[in-house]
Amino acid sequence: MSYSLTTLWFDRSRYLPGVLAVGFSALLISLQFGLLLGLFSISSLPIDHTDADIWVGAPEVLAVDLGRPIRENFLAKVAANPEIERCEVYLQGFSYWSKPDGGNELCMVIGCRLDKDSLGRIRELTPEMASRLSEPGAIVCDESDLDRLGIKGVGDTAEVAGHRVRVVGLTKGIRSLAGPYVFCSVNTAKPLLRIFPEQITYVLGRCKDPKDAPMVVQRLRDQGGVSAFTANEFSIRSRMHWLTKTKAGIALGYAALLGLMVGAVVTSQTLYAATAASMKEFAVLRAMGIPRWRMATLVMSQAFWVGIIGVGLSIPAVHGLAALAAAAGSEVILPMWLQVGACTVTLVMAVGSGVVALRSLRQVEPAMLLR
Amino acid sequence: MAMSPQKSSLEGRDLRRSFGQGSMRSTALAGVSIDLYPGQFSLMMGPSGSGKSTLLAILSGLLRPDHGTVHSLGQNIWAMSERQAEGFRLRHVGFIFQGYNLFGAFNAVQQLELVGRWGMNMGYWEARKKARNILDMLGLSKKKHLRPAEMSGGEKQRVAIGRALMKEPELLFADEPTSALDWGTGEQVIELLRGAARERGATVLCVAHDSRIIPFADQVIHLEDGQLKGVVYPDGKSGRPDREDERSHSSKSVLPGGEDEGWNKGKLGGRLNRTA
Ligand SMILES: Nc1ncnc2c1ncn2[C@@H]1O[C@H](COP(=O)(O)OP(=O)(O)O)[C@@H](O)[C@H]1O
Ligand SMILES: [Mg+2]
Repeated sequence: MSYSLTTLWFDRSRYLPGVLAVGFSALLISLQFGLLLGLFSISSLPIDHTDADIWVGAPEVLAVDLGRPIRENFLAKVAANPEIERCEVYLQGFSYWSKPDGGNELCMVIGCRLDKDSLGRIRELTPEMASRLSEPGAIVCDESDLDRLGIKGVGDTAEVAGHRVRVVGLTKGIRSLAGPYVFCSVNTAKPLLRIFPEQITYVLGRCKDPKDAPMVVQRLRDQGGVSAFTANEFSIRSRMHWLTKTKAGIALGYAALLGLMVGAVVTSQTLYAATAASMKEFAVLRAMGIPRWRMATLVMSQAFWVGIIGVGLSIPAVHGLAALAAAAGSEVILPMWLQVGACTVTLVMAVGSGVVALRSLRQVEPAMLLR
Repeated sequence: MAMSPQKSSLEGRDLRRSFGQGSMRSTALAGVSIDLYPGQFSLMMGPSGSGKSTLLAILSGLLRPDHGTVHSLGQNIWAMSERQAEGFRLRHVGFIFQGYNLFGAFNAVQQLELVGRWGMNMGYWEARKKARNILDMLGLSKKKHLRPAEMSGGEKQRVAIGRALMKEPELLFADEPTSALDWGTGEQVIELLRGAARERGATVLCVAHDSRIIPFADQVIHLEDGQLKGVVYPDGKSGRPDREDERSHSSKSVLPGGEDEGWNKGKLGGRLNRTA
């Protein structure tokens, strides 16, 4: 076992605060980021839970829920591309839900084709629900939103933008952000969104070969007058928009920075104190001419291992807490890049703390051993 | 034992050193010249505050003198740069101090092995083998895997000697290595240091208080108030023919019993007197 690991294990109670500080920093970053990713993944849910390769909307669309009306004849424009297998209309926008017993609620209306191969129909809408949605004024919402919408279940009625709607089905597990999702047919959606009959929000396209999607998107952009995205691009764009627009990203950045700073201070103090405690032992080695860099290497490798152990402990903790959060209803998304990133940043922090702690070696002076 | 069996390995000439500034300035060493020889165990004695540690530090290359020269193994060590001096110590010098200064986390083998690996660029197995051999030689065969907390003071000091011997230094300096030990264990430590001189031909300089050590020494250097009061050769010859009572004098200057406490009080008192 290396000297650094031997000292860490022997003096474990001394190094523990540093290890915990590192672990806590990594935990804070991963969990915060993961929570926000989870939160904002709700906004891109219509993209992530459908099968379109291409989304085409009004110029400069910022996020999927902020689409503005476009003319229905955009459909032909998209269909004109030879790589496109098929395309269809899709509507999405905010509207007002009037509860049966009074009171308004913001809601997110989604109008999509209901056929079996629909590109805009989310997976959670079963074929039975889809067939019932073909009736005018029929809507489906999520069971978790019933309270918010002031209704009890299937068969209840309410008004959206002054038009009467009737609940014909309930999805499970579709969470909502600003307002509950309300799913319906294209024809039902138009009045609810107060747009003209010849208007829509998006054209969704599917390519014969999904690999062609970026090329088609680029061609549509070059033609101008629209904004076009691959599904993946648009999903990220939507999440990032809310992440930055709501300043949540900035808050997150600060929290992460603060966590790192606290971690760095605790870790460097731990290493500094530990090194200072071995001052006389180091001084003997210095007296015997052993170069200072040997001791610096020991301190740096202690810093590295404190980092590795702290980060190592944080990984199960992050997943445990994420599971706990999921059970409490907030999804935490922990992509690999996030975990690797958080661990790397924290490890760099720990090693940086080691560099700071090296100062204590400067006080090592062989003459201090004489009596 | 002849008084100057061969060419000296260490020559200090007119060494002076003061501490402090202005009115607080005090002279720790006021012009001391001294010769040490390979294969000899030299004992340095004198009251607290007499400048023993200061002289040892200057001779060993740890503390720069205000005046004077030290030729160590033929090299003028205080004409060297800091780096060169460090390299010189690395190649030639070993130290033992009163506090054992062993790493709490490491066992005896590791304490020695560390010097081999860090100081002599030895490989792991090579350093370990050497460490074990030295510990065997020091009578610590059964203590190899104990950490300092599990060892007695004498055992710890023997490990510290082992650490100093790892490099097989030509010069070995020990500042009060026995002061924290009872006579029995202290004697063992002295025997080992003398053995390093006799068997390895090292030049050994040891500061100690106990006059019972005198018979072990090849020469006894007596310091008082920063000045050399005489060099005694326990086989009878004195370094200063004008002083015949050297031997009894040095014996008398030793604080009787309980050296540690007396030494501490003496040192504090000495400082106060000086600065008053
Ligand atoms: N670093 C120092 N700063 C100030 N005074 C010192 C220092 N080292 C030693 N002295 C003084 O120099 C004198 C000699 O000290 P030292 O060589 O340690 O004596 P000894 O080892 O014989 O007890 C003492 O008066 C001591 O107080
Ligand atoms: Mg001293």
